[in-house]
Amino acid sequence: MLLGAAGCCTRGCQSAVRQFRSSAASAAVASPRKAQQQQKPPTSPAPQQQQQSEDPKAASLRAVKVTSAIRAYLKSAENYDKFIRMERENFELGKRFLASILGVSVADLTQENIEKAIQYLFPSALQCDYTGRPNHSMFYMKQPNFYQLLSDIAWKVEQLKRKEDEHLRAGRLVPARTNLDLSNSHWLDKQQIEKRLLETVSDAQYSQAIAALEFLVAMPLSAEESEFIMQYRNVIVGTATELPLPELQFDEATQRPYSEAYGQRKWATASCRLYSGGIGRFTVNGESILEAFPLLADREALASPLVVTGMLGKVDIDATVTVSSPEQPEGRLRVRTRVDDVAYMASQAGALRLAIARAIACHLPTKQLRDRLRMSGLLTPDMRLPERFYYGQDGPRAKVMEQHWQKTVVRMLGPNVRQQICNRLSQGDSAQRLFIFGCIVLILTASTQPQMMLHQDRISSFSSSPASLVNSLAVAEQLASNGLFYDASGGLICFHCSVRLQSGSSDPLQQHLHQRPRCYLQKLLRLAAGSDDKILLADVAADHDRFDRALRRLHADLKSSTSVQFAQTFGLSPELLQFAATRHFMRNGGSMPNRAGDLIELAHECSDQVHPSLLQVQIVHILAERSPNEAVGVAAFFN
Amino acid sequence: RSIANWLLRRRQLSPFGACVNRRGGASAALLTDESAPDRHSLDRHVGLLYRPEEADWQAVTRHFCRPELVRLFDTLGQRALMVRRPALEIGERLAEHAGDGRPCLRFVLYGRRGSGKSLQMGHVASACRRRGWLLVTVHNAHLWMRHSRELHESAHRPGMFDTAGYGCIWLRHFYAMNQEILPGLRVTKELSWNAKESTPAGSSWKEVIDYALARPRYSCAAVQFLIDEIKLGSLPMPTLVCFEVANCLWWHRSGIKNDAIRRTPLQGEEPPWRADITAKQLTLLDAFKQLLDSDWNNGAAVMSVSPQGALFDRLREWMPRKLLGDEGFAYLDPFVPVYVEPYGPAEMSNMLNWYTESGWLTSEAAATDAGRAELAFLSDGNAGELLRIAGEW
Repeated sequence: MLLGAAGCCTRGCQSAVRQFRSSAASAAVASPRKAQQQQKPPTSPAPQQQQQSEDPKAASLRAVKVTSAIRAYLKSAENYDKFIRMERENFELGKRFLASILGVSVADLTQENIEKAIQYLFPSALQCDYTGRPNHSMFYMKQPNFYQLLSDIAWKVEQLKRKEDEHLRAGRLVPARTNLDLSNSHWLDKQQIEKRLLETVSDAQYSQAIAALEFLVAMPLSAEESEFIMQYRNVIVGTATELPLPELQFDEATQRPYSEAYGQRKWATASCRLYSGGIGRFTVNGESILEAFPLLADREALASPLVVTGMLGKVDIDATVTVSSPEQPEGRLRVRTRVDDVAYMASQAGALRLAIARAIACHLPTKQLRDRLRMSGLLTPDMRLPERFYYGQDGPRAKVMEQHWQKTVVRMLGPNVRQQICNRLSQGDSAQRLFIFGCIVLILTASTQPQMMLHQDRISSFSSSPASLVNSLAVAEQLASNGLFYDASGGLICFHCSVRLQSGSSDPLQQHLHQRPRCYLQKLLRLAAGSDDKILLADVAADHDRFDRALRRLHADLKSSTSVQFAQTFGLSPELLQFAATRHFMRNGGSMPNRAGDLIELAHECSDQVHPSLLQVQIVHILAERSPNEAVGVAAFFN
Repeated sequence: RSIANWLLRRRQLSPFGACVNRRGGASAALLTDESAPDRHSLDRHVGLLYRPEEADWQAVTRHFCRPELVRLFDTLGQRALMVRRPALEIGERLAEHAGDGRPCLRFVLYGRRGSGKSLQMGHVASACRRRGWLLVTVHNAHLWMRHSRELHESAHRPGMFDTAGYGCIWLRHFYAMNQEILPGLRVTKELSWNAKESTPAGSSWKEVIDYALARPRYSCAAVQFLIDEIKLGSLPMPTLVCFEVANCLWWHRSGIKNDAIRRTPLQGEEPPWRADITAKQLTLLDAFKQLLDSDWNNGAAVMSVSPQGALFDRLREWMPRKLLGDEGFAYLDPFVPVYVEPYGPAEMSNMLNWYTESGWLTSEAAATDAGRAELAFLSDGNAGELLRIAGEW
């Protein structure tokens, strides 16, 4: 019988009720005898009888004369019949539905049963008494329940005033509102009020009602109406179980009571010793609170347990806070300047807040205060931990715009390789990271077949290859992302080292490794693919110093090279010139082109051979990635 | 009966003769009628507010206030400053031991950022002004090293740099501050600006300043000249030197590079490297640094050291030893350190009362005892922080 409870409030249901009642009414008069009497429309009972009594000739003559009126009558009669028929059908249908709800057969369902069922199912729809006057005195205000609430509040306010006057007249002190504890509850929101009143309420009306309730609460004797008030408040039920709180201890020398507690949040841990009967002294790691927590929000967090319990300025606190460095891969975000010292502040404040809340609990005189502390959630530890850092992202969930080296790798070797490289950067050590960035620069600038540097170009080169070599796009893609392309003279060639793979080999990649083991593209790809070949890893580690020196010098040269600066005055883009200079550096044993003319010539050569999208890459940015420490300069000199 | 009740609830006469609210919360602020800073005394006025006189405010005190505070006073249409212990202690020492040809006394005000060092210095300066001292005040020297303003190589001190713009600004400031005294002062020796022009001995300081303002190129030389005159000890009145953020004098870095004055190297000359111009290379700063030395008589120097101007590795320091570094500490030693401590409970309460009374604290919560305790906690007794938080409440 949920129908009655759930559906009786909406307007749609009221109309349904009206229909049900009307059909019930028509059914009530639908016994055959009565039906024949009432079936005729009350407006025009006469013409039929006249038609029967007069002679046919006159009738036909008359019929011609009054034909339009008769036609109208016949039409209305027909409509009426149809309406009654439909109503009756509806009634029968509804009756059968009702019978199935009630679990009785249709034959057993009497008119009495129907009336009772309607009354049960739609109680609120019956808004009028038997004389037709509305039951609710505020029916005509459209929102009777809402206005009834306002009226109730007003009445209660008046009653409280009268009681207060009685107190005053008797010369007694008006008791303060001690019993009404609203700390663990809050007002119902608009939807809940609407559900409670069974009426829609506008925003303004909602705030009007809350203001009225708050006025009632503010009355001196409002505790007497607590039952009424609490109907319109949500009680917060604490989910935290009873925690073992620290016990009160006594200082040996001074016999001063104190308690000790700890707290944690994220990577911060805090412990505090809290003395009662103090003057509000607060030190954190020996510093004053303003120095330890320069941000106002952090200090507000620390104040919250003291404010909630009213102990602000009445206790002394000595606290220690530490942040342990989480286990994170080495990466860009690990490097922090001193200006970023505030970065871990909020978690430290959170840890200390929990410690203070725990420590203060045993100093509180009443259980009510302890409950308030728990209800406000201050005793609940926050067990969440920050997610780990991922290379190439701003935060664990925040993706950044693809960096220069990532774009380059996608264009040169495809998206799969980029993903592999990212994984490797997150897991590998600093030597491997250096190796990866060094290889990217090397492959980008010093490849022997720069015209085939683009991943797409190599894939399309397989379109002319025989089916015996490449029979599907997947194979072509795999070969291309391994740096191989198909040459018209018949054979697979590596774009970096130009090695021509001997035909007939079953595994081109193994073949490449076999024929040219020192190709840096192969080394990079194998490293990225997660190979744990000992020889490879030893190579990478051995290359560290050489790479480091070379890349360092290249970075410095690119930024300070006068020939690059001079060549820019000829209208060449700095990216192109950097590319050309790096190519010269890589191919000539680490020397920069010392004449601007050479550099310009080289630049023109590059722009002929290399795809323009690769020429827009800023090599300096890739180089800055290789060792994150150098990328961060002095962040701020003056504050 | 209700009126009596109301009175009982709201008011009760305190032993100090001011209104104190029995139920707690805000009450009337304690103000003193003594508006002359030189007549404030340690035993009667500490912790009270006073209203600075208009002339004092315009000439001296406003230069020591943070712009936020000046704006606040303008908004409220009234000014009230607190009489605090450090300024009165310095004033007492000055009255006992300074002036009359006695050696220069040096005080270093220190304390946490926002604790009110500058205002204490302002209190001392306005008191000295009323006693007829010559005031030499520098308020933002650390900003002189932040942006270069008309930087050029110095003619009168080879190898150093003049900041002509700042020199002019300071001379104008100096003249405005000592308007009554300066016309009576005469220079004791001739000052030659260049081969052709010179100012003869016996001309007034005003003429020197006017000359430098007309030719900004010589402004730093003029400052150096006036400071030499002060150090000669020929003035009829004592001199008070106020130097804010004195630790900037020993910075080894600055915001200005020698780019502005780099030129094509001459034949056989080593090209200059791009580098910071440090405080030691600026003639203007060096001139004031000479005044902070103790080798002159008939005067006193009050300095403050502040993390506001500290290098980035010392942002959280506030003790003079750390902020001045080895070199600065050795230069200033011996000095009288004066600690400007956070507000005590009485000072805090009085300040909150005044904020409430003047309409700066408007929220109802701030007028209750709990709210005031929270404000005291959040600001941690720090005057600047209290001003900021009170604006948000």
